[in-house]
Amino acid sequence: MCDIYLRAENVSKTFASGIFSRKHTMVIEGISLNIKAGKTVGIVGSSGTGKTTLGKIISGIEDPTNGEIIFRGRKISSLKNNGLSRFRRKVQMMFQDPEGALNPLKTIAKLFHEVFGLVKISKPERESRIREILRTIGLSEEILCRYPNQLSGGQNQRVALGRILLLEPEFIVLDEPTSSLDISVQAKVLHLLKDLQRQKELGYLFISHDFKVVEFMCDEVGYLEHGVLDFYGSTAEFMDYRCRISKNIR
Amino acid sequence: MRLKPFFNRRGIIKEKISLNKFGLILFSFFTLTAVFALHLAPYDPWERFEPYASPNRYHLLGTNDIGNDILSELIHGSRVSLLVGLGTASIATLLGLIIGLVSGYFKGIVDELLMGITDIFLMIPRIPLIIILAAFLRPSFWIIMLVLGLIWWTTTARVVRSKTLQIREMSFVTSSRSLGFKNSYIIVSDIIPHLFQVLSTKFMLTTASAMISEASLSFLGLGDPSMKSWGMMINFAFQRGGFINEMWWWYAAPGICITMCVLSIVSLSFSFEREEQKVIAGM
Amino acid sequence: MSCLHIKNLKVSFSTPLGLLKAVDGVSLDHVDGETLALVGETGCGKSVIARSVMGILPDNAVLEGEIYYEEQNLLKMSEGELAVIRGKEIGIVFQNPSLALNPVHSIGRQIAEPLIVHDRMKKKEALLRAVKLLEKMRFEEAEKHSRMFPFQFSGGMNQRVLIAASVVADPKLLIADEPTKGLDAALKARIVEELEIVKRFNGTSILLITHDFDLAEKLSDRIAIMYAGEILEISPLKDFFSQQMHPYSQALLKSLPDRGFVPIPGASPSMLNPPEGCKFHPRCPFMREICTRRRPSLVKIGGREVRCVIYT
Repeated sequence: MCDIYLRAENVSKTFASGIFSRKHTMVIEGISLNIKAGKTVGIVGSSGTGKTTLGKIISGIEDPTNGEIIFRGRKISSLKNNGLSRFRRKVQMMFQDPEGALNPLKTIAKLFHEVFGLVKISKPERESRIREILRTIGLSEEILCRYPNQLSGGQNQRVALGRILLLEPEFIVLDEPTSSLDISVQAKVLHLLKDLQRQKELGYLFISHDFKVVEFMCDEVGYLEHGVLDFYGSTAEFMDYRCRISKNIR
Repeated sequence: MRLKPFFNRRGIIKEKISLNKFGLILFSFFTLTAVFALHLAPYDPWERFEPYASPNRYHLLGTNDIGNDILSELIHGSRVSLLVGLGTASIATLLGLIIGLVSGYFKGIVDELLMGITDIFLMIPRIPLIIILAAFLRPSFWIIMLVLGLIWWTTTARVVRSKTLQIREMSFVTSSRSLGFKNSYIIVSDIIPHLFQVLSTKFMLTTASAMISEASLSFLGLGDPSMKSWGMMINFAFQRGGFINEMWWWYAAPGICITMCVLSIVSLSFSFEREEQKVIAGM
Repeated sequence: MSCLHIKNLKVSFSTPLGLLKAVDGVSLDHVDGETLALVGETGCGKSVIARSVMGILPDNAVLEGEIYYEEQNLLKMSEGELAVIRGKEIGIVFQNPSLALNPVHSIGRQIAEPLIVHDRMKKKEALLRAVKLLEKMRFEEAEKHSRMFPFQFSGGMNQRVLIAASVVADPKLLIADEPTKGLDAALKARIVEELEIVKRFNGTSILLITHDFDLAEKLSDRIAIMYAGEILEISPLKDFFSQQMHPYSQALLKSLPDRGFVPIPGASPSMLNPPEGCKFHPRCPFMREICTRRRPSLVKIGGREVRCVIYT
């Protein structure tokens, strides 16, 4: 089990703008972290500090300008077709706003079924897989014929999670998964995520701006400030650190 | 402080609903006329009767210089005019969709290149180009349609591009990408369905302006003389003495038809546009 | 003396799926100078109340009941009379600051606009007032900021500008609809600070609409819990946080991250066909047989009011 990990090594990202005179903006700089299977690493920081960019790089949606993402001991940049699509499937990302994360013109059933275009599962098995996933995420089958805007934010977020789970990932980058949900629903989604982690040995990168939620969810926490990891350690250490910085601010 | 526009907008919306019905009825009237022209027209438009007849019992709108029944010409003319409009719009919309989509979805160098080409096409003065082309090539119905279509995709491409840029940043597209779907799948299943409203609006507006252009070209004598379009009828009316002899029914009828048909299409496109805004506002 | 008095307000929307009851018989008494927090989850109708007070509901809304602002019934007023009250007497801060500000006018100009329009102040004087106000709101470089445009600011800064704009004409009542939605902790703190200044210096009454208990705890004097278009409990702030009376309020607080993180079972009811009797009964741990049949009324207990059969 110990070889299942996802590591970021010295990752930086700069954005270049302008056609003739290129302006470079450093978004994140020299970040290293290590996510083990079954563990959660939290990333906290105020808005605009590059949390989402880091998440996108770790899940392979964007390429880092410098540094490497290492999945199961192999550099992502050296992966070829098969290995790359395997990495893509095993490392998933879930986004912030539940309303926008699902195509509003497709039914929930269609949204689940289209995922089977990515994994080879025989037709009769598909129905039972969907039923199984619906049970896991705690939704009833009647929602299958509805559209995303007919569901609540929490339900949409769970459908998005269900779609990801169909691919049987090992790591999920969760980008503020509950920040736009109601408090009572937030608790429900977070408990679901924890249960899933226990069952399937999932590794999470949990991005949030809410300290309390991060303390509840995570084993290790990184504090991102202006694109640099100011702090990286266990949650208990982080709580100490937080007390210190909040005193400094005052 | 920001409440006034809210009320204004509501007022305008109410106005446009009635406009929409009017447009729909008128447009279906013209379309049905074009489809059933053979059955509706009292005579073959090429059949000759007594020339220069005033409106009478047998020829409701009289006859022209060579004795063709003007009403029949008018009914058959709707086919040509609508066909030029719709044909041009189809070519232009298809081209605009492809170019705008590729440009907006892939961004970067592709985008800059394609938008550069679009800008060049935008700079071409349309009517003079068609006049020159018509002068060199044999003036024909198909060529007019093709040329209009080939230079009219630019605005559609720009609108499609900006809309695509907007949609591709919406999180359901990003999440499709992160799930690992191929670009082709995302374009077909996530992006194109959301472009439908923009496209239908642009399609209608292109149809309307193509019809006007065809009419102006025909009026200038650069149209296809073998096809009796509304523009061609006005052209003949002016050249063959309809105007001098005050036979207003000869040129007024096709003129009114062009105006009403274009108006109906434009009002339809407005209502499409409004639907789109409603979707954006999430109403 | 109450500045805003809502009596049995019912708002429903006619939708293709049927009549949606967004607000179902809400009565509120907003005392002069107090901050009343209206707390509830998405879709419980709290924003609809704000919009009814301002008279900016969409076309398909059906309103019943009375809304009194200083003895005048707002629902019986003409559009022109309302417009005067909206600008001068009642200010509103909307959820989405970037959309509520006009991108082509400078910040100072937009803050000064109500003064120019309603008080017929000279432009120069009004702009000066705007800068002064920004200073009071603790903007670091008020002078410079007043000459900037909304797109040069972040969403949080725009929200602060919007609050300034809505209080420049010294309204007696400020309605703040989710003023901190989507903002991070640091900006939230600034907004709280700004609203406190408004409260303290101008004596403005604030109707705070939020789902954030932290915000309500920091700012308000009284708190009203809404669920499915009804008010379930109104309490003075201190009493509420020491002991919630309604089972829903208790469950809601328990679902907070630092108070146990226990989710409420079930989901919020559909507003198209809400449950019979007490609307919370399908999710309530103390459900009795009577709850499925009779809708409880608000009962006064001490300075508090609660809508639950336990207390009758």
